[in-house]
Amino acid sequence: MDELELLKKDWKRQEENLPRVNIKDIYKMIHHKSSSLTKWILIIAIIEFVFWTVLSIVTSGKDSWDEIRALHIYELNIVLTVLHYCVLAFFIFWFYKNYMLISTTDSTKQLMNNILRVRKTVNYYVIYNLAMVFIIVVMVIVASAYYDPDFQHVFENKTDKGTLIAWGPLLGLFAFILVILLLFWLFYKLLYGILLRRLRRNYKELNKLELRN
Amino acid sequence: MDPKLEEKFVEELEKNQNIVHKICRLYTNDQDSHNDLFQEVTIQLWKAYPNFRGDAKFSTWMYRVALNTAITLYRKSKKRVKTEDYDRVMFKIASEEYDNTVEEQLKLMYAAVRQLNDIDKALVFLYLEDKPYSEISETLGISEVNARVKMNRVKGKLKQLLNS
Repeated sequence: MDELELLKKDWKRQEENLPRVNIKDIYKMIHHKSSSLTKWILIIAIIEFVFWTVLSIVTSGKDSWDEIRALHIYELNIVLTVLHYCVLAFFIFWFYKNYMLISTTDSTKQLMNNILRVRKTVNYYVIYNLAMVFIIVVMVIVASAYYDPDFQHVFENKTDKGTLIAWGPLLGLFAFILVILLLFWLFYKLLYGILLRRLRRNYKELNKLELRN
Repeated sequence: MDPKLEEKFVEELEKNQNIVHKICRLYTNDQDSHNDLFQEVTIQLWKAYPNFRGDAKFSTWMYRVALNTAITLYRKSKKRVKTEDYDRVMFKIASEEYDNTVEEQLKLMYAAVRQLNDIDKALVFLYLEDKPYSEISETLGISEVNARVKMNRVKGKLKQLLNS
């Protein structure tokens, strides 16, 4: 087929007009996995958001609201919940913005800065969640100390000299708070830790590349 | 990943990048898609690199992985591919080097090649690259006889497309 031979000749000529990608760009391409890692951070944050929302809807019946009312923290609870959802929405938006930024970055230096930014955002997110858990636990304990007779009974040691604090249960309570925080910390470490570690590795490799060039 | 392996890969790819660019030009319609496919092929090559044992030439291995990636992505985005945009595939034909008839003929040929299905396109690509049938068959994972038969069919299809 003559036309095909003609095409073959032309095809060879085209080699001169092909674009060239330099070594630095190739390195950047193979390190662009940061973009997919950031996407996963966004996806996990959304799944986590949905998970907690569904869990709180499923577990909150009339009884739990009555208990909250009895502890006089109903209004505070509503305010905290609204605030919490606003902050979560803000974080999800922030993760989305990070993802968009990383996907469109085309300089190594900028990509490195963005990776640092993503890591920072995730750390803030984890710190915020741990702080929120701490606030809620402390809030419930303080409210119980004031309004729950059973709770008061456990922590009071009635003696002849009057009412003393029962240190044993109190220490147990502190240990309980610590364990709760530790469990949440482990949960986040497991959920985001792997992605953050990979991002850090990526950052290091990019840094090496930047130094070499 | 081993930094030395990475360095070797990047050097090899830089040296042989024309192969990927040519595949990108054949399978995409605009510069953005070209760049996207180039990046995707690079990522796939990098992922597959640890399994490249060096018993084939780097370029032969590259043809196989790059074509597979292009074909897979082409299938995914088939509905979005416009076939009218032939001009970019024509590359930059210097008009003073060709008379109008040749230019017209080439334009029609490129248009016809772009209308072929993904596998046929890969076959024509390797043919244009002047690869022997033994290498074409190895790259596409078909027998040498099958490659020859298919290529003859493609020639027939191209003729038909040119006459229609």
